[in-house]
Amino acid sequence: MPRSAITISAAVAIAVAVASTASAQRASQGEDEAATFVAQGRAALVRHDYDEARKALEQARTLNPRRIDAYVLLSAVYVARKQYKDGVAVMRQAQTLAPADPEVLLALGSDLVLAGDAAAGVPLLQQVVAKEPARYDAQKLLGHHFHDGMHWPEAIAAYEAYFAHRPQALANEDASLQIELADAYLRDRKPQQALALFQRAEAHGGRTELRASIGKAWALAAIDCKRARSMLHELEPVAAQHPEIWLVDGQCALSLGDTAGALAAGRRYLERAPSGSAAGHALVGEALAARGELGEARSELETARKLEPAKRRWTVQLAMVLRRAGHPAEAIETLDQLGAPATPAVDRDWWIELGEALLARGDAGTAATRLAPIAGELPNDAAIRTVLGAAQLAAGQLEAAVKTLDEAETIESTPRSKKLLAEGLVRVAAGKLSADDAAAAEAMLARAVDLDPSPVSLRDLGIAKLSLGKAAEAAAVFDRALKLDAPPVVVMLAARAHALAGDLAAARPLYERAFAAERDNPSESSGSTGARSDAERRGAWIEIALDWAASEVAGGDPAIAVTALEKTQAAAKSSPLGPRHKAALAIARHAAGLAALRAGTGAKAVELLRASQALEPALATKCDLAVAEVTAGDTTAALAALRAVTGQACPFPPPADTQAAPILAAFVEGLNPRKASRALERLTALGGKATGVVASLLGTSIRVVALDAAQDAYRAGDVAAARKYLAAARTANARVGGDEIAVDLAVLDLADGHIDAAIAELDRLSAKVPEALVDLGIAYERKGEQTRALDAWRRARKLGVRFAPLEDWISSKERIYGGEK
Amino acid sequence: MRAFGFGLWAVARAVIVLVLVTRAAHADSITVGLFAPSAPFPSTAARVELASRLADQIGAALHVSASGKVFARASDFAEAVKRGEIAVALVDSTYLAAAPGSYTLIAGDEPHAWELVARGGKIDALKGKRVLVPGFGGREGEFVLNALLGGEVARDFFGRIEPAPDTASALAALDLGHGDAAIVPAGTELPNGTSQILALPQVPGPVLVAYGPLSAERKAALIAAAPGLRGDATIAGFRVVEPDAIRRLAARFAPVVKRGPLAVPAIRLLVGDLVEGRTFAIDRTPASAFATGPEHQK
Repeated sequence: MPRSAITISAAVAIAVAVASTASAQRASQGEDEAATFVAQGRAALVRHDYDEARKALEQARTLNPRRIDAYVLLSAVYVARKQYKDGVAVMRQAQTLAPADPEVLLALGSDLVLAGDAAAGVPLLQQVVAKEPARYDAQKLLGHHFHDGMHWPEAIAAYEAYFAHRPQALANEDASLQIELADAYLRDRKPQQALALFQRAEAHGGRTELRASIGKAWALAAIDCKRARSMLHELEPVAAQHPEIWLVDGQCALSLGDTAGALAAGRRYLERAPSGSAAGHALVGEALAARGELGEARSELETARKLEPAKRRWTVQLAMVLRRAGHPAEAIETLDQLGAPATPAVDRDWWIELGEALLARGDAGTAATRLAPIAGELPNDAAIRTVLGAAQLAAGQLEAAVKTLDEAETIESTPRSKKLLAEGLVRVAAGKLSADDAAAAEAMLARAVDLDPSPVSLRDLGIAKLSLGKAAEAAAVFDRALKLDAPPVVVMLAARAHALAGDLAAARPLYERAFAAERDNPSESSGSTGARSDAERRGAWIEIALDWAASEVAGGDPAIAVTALEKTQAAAKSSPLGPRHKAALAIARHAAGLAALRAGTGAKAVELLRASQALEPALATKCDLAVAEVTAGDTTAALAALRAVTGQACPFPPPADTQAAPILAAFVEGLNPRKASRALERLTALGGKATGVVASLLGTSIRVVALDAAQDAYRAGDVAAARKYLAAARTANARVGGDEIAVDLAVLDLADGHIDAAIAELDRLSAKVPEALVDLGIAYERKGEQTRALDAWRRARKLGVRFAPLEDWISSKERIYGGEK
Repeated sequence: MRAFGFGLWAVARAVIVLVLVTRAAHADSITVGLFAPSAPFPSTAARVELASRLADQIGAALHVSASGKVFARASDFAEAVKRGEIAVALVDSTYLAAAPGSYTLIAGDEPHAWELVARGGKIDALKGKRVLVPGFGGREGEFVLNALLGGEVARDFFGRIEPAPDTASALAALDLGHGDAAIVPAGTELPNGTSQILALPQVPGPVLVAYGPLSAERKAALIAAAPGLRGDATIAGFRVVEPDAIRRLAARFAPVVKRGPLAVPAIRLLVGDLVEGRTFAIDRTPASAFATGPEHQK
């Protein structure tokens, strides 16, 4: 708002305001001649007849030197004539008469401000509005003063009070004052309020409309550059007169990533607005910096700084370019030369850039120390907190960093603050995890994943959940991590989670993938783990093998565990994990040996258990090896192994822990046809007081030995002896072998010529005892039913029955009675 | 290759003893005999030719003079062996399986599948009929019924099982209607109007054996030389034969007694209770050991 306008406006305002005061005086002092002159002076002032006004008011002062309204109105006349010093002199006289009179203070304050002595005038005006906030005239002067001084919050407060109390008669002045208030809003980062006010000012039309339109575009630029640019382009016809339009358009282009547009706008601005070229050079510098042309950017910003050394922004921008160009020390020096702003609010960017430069120089501790108190003075500033948080993070002040970044995130979320807060949370959580506080870590990591689902945050969240026994939840988290850059160890952890959740089918391919990745890529760094030494890579490979083996042994296939561990055996020999690997391989072989034992592959069980025992001798392995030797059918080896554990406490259910060995020794001897009878006697004798597992073991031993002896007798053609052993088998108290006895009795029936009875029984039992099908075929053959005989033998072969002559029998019969099926 | 004329039948029936190389018998001369009636030589001359060729090669290998001698009857061959006249011989494996003796197995021809040949129809049609088979001195019936037919037909299924002097003679007789079927090595050219009724299992081919007169060193030398001996179109050469090949063939001559297995529970069921419920655990590295902060990220 031009000063002349303010001057006249202020004078008229004083005239109007003093009218009521003069009336009050008249009421208290009574009618006199001086009052007549005051009235004449006021009237002359209102009609802009300043000579007449001055004469009348001087007359009034002569007649009554204590007449304050005469002083005030006379001051207004001087103001109207721009004779501010004379006005000040008059009001100084009035001040001696009525030092606390608000009219005196207001007039004197106004005169002082208008005379250029704001330092003396503003406190007087503030004194007035402090007592009477509704003194709109004082508020207007204060608002204008603060606007000119770029004290935006103070300007906002004064203008808001003005608009709240100004009389309707002054509404025609609103547009220009609204523009100033909108300016203040905009500079105080309240663009929405600024926009609304610029729009209202624009609606008034008139001389201020263009200024309001430009302000509207700037306010919009602070809110939404994309929309603002189209508005700014509409202002292109007046841009030559208002080149700052290009400046704002260039800034918007810059923020939208249109560096070419920014550069072009900046250069046009420089062509048309040489007087404001510092801002143009700064814009061009920023645009060049954004394009990575840091050398030229530096040059432009140095020019801007040279042109306007007091303009802090150019120096701060220059520091930023220096930092980005890899000269953080120069950036810091540049900022220090400028010096910190009087208050952080005046130039928070200086502090932000100082923090960034210190961070870039690797001096995170100093950055944190210097910014921490500043952040306290900028309560709603997310950017300063983001830089402070970054500094605290880099300085290892993790808890403080999380707090600071949390505040930043609450004020205004940005990708950087999110990422930094997530990083802080992950690092604090890592400490919690290592301190066995997985519950606390889980909560932090869950938040970190929400903020920034990075491979690391997902990995650690999965780990926290695994540590808390939440395997299924961990598996889901790891599955997300696998979709990102997942190193083999994360693939292994995903496999572990699936395995612990009971889904080994899902775990196994992951283990295979992790295992192959470490095995096949031994000379390169993998995933996001960075460069690693050969020893570390070998260690990771062995670790995966150990984990895979642990999962397989716990609930899968121990043979796979053995395979994984054997593949890494050579690498483990020279690794610190060697002892663990050795113990694990012994356990895996032991478990695989028992699995083979249960599957009926005794020889394989013996091989595995011997290998386990060779690695790590243990009584349990020795005992199980003895049992495996029994099932493998090597009498000599079995007896030797059983002797080795006789008298020791094996891991069998008691009382079998000590009694199983002698029973099994008798059993093994009984498998020798010549010693079967004696073995049966021994086993029967041992059964007297046997209970539990031992009784069961004895009963089964007797039955198996007797059936084995019956088989030998039958093969030798001694049906009578076979029948005798079968009888012994029947009387044995055993849970197993009942169906086998029934089959064998049917076979003897067949030998005795009871073909039909044998067929019926063998057919019934063939589903449970596939060997019966061989005998069933013989029975059919004897009955002359060759096709049925062939069918029975083929079924036996299909079911895997092992009987040496079977294949020849089938071939012979197929030659005569039918082709291959 | 197999243009046997029936006229040879009479000749083959006669005892043929041909001294191929007339050399004075002395200590360093040996006789290489040939008795392989199942081998489908096209003619007697071919047998003589092979015997002669083998004698030359074996004599050269053993650094002795050798002569070849072809035998048409098992009894003649057995007598010659008994007299110690034969040091080395190429003999049908069926002969050796049927009449065990003392010999050293040197090498042999490849095993051959056999076949039952007749004028069409199925085996049921041959019930009570006359079957011809290359004779090897007896037990031809056991050979046919047990070794080849696996005991699947009754002993009296065929009317007669007659030995023929050799494979060619058996097929010639079938061609002339002097038999209803023939059992011969597969792959032989069959008379017109006949075809394979049954494919029969493999039987070891003729084998090269050494008898008593040959010293251990010469037997060893002969074994070493055997793979290099060159035969003819019928018996191309010799390869290593499994030592018990003849014994196993002899076992197949025996009547087939089918005795099935008695069922015995698996021994693992016996010890199952001892190892049931056992669990194993391998220590894992705690998951938290793999935790890492973002400083480890690229």
